[in-house]
Amino acid sequence: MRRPLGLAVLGLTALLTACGPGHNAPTPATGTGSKLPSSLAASNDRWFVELASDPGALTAQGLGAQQATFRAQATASGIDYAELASYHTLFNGFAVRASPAELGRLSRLPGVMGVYPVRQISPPRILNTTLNAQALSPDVMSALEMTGADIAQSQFGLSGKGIRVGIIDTGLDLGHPAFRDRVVAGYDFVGDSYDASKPGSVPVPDPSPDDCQGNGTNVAGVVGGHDPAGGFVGVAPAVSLGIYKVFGCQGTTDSATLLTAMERAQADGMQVLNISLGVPFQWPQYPTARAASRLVKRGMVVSAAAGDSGQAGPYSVGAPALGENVLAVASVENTRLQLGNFTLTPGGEVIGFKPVYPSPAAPVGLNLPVGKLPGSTPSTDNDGCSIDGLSPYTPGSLNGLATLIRLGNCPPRQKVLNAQDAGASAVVFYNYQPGFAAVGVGSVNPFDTAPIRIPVVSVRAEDGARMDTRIAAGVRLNVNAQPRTFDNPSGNTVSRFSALGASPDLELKPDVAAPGGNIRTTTLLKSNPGGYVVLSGTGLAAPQVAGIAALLLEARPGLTAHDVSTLLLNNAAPRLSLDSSLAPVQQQGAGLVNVPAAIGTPVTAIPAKLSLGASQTFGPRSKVIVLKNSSTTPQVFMATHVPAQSLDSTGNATQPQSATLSINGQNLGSGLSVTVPAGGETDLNMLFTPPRSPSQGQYGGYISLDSASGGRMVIPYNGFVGNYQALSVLNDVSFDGGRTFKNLPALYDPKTFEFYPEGLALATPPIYTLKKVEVFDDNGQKITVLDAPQLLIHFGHQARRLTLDVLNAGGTSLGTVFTQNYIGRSATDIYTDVSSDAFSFVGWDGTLANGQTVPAGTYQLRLNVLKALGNPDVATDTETYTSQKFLVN
Amino acid sequence: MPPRPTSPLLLLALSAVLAGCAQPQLTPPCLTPSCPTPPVSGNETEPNDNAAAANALAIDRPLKGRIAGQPRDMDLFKFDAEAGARLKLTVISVGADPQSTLDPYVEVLLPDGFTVLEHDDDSGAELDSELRFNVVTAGTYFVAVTSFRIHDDERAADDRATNTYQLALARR
Repeated sequence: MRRPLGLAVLGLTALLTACGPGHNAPTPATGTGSKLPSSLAASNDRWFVELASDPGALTAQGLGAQQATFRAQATASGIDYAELASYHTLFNGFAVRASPAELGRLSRLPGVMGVYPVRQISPPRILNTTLNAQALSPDVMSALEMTGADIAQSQFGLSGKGIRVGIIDTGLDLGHPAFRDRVVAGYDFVGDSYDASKPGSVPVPDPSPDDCQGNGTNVAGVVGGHDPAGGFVGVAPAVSLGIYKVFGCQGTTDSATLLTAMERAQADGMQVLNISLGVPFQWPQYPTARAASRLVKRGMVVSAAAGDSGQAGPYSVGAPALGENVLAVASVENTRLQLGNFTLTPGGEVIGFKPVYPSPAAPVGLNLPVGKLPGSTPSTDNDGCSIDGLSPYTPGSLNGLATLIRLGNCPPRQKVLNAQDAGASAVVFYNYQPGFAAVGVGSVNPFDTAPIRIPVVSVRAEDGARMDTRIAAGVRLNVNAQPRTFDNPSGNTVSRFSALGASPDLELKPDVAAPGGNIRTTTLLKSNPGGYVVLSGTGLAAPQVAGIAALLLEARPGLTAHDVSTLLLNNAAPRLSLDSSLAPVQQQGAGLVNVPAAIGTPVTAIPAKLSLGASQTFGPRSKVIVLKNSSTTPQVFMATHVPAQSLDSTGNATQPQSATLSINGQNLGSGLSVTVPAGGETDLNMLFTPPRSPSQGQYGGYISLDSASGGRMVIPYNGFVGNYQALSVLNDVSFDGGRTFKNLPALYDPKTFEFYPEGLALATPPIYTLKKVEVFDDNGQKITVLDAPQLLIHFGHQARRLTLDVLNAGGTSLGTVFTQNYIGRSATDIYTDVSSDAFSFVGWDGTLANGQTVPAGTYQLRLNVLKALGNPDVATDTETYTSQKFLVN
Repeated sequence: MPPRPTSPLLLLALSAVLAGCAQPQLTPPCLTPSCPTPPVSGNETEPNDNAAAANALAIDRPLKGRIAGQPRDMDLFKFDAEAGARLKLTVISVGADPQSTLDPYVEVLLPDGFTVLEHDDDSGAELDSELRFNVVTAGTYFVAVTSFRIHDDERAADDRATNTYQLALARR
């Protein structure tokens, strides 16, 4: 229906330029539908079905009876579904397989509370494999220094001994020397051959959680690996581990299996649970998030990866990290990097490089003269790019040279192939902005099969510029054998991939940050005999916090799970973005966790974070923070206000027009002295006046409490600028890379795989028989589909509730046939392939609320979507779509 | 209990009338955790399941209530507050009645009766709820008390007769 603002402006431009001949007329258009791949609808078929009662309120018999009743009713009503799993302690209900059309009837069975899509979960993305070969040396352990875990180990003697930490992931390499004799519980919920992305793949549980994929072993190393011979120490090197394997050796798992594993971790008495997995763009009410939050209320600290979807815009934090009590962990870049390197001669400077994949490794001792495109400089913006389809290099001009090329303007792959064709023996890329570039040279086009035969590496912008100045006088590079440690140019900054909050109910997420960029950890021995790799992701930041929670529980045994969260947030240190501004709170929460400060502080600040909501709803807003002092001496702080970067409506960080803040009626100015009496408490009465920009964006910052002894506590706050209800939900989707957009929602025909965008006038209405029919899919295979109407819906933002009504020929509603609560947003509004997650399906099987099938005739479907935090009594808080008329016959 | 000479509600009304004049004389707030709890002044009156049917809640006049009698009970209360009021709301269960089975969950709603200004689950002792908040704009605000289970689970009934609580609003 509507698009995000930026795209709407583009759409307007298109309309304004549509004056000359050859442009399409604006809608309403008359025409035929567009086709989708046949496999798309079939992949949207797994759901959680939640039954009425909280499992904690029922006996096992009561729960079993309720679930048995559901099964009997579903069978009696002839619904075509398959049960995939059932749950008993954290969630009352099932995971099932059913078509979107059958789901409506399933959701209307007595006792059913709600349905949620089961999402596939990929193992944590490995964002950086550059350092595998160099990962043997122990001196890239700076992650422990960054959080003070090294001091907790060496000065406080903490190791996590006696604390039980559960890890839900791909298992653990049980033969790895870093974990000997410390696995006290574990289970494999799926078996090695399971892959949720393969139709028909069935979990085959077994008792041994031995890792055959690697990610779980990566995570466990950070939590508590200990291998003196290998020079490796994790955060809590003596913890007891519970290992819960939810992946096979390849492919994906799903949130249904994750929920099963969470129930098991609780039963095994885990005190801390790490979940480096998640479903992005969700709600705190998503089943895994709610279940994780309940675990915290029952006493378990849960640390979960915020997610790696930072480039996919705001509100991208995943479930279970979104759970109200769960610690959602963002990623900060490691301060030091161990890199391959080469020496320049003459001169002798040593320059660190990252290999660029896929290309052959730069062999030790490789010694080449350095060259470049004549005339290129460190300000050339299209260095090495083809011009009018032709290489800029003269054939043979780069024979035997290591070719220096500045990144930018065209795909790096094009630059490498041009240089290779001109005879280059290697390519050295340099960045066009500070830091190392995230660069790859793989083919993205099935028709582009040219092999890259020469080594390709990338260096920092300043190193490239230095090499550029030396080429004229003649300079050679020589690849050294030993990796060296370099300062990471982006060290201590928030990782760009780290997901952005807030939650859709505008609560501040993520909660804290931890080192997750370029982290050295354990890996499968069979994939790397050395046993160690360097990787990146929030999936490696979460286990830092899980390990730190174990250290805190060891140091202060009486702490509750809530206390652990409060201490970690209160004593975190906000970090910068790459541009040296304070990174948005929506990307780092309270900031980088600090173990010694959390252990040593006598003062707590509650609540530990402040969510100020939408400025149009509240205007100026007051909040009260209670400072409690458990020591026998008064504690004195200087309170100051520290604004962080804002996020615009699409998630770009901008310089803040900051909120203004007064405390106890006084403007802060250069600070306000606050005294917390010995053994007593003090209220901070804060009054925030929100900023007016960025419109539809998010603002945030910190109240900083600095003590005379040099300690610093922080309380982060966040808010939304303007009218939150103005964010549109039912947006459009592009099928051509963003050039044009189809007006969604759309009516879909499962037997022709065609959809009819909103507003498209149809010459003849689609006809649905409501019967199963056999059709041929795109591969010529015969498949059976239910010939019933479905809708394609793109969710531009999370939605509170979706209701689907059926209208008769006269436009009168025959009642609601499907309701869904807490709907996640779509990942993208640009569809590229069946994995895009650009829209969801909702269907109707032809029955009404009374179970009766409608008679033959003309009908329409009407969709009402209540927005996040929307008031059902306020009409503008709901968006509505009505489909084209169709025939049931 | 003996009638109080001046009801806090009247004082609040007065304060609205006198806005801009001197602050009305109020009992100094007790700021230590060991403040004596004022005696309970009454019970909630059902039905009070929505803003339109909210019971009146007055400062320093605690009320007893029960999340029971029907599935998914929600008890609503309303109070008038002047701009700048610094308040504390507590919902205690076992602290008031050792037999209570309630894990309370409380929200303060804006005068629209829908928008949540503050919410709390467990900030008090054990599972009790406690909210400290300040009023920016004078008006009639609402308090919604229910159980954590009802809040957390859209169909949980949680109507045990032993779900008792005591609700108090105080100045800070």
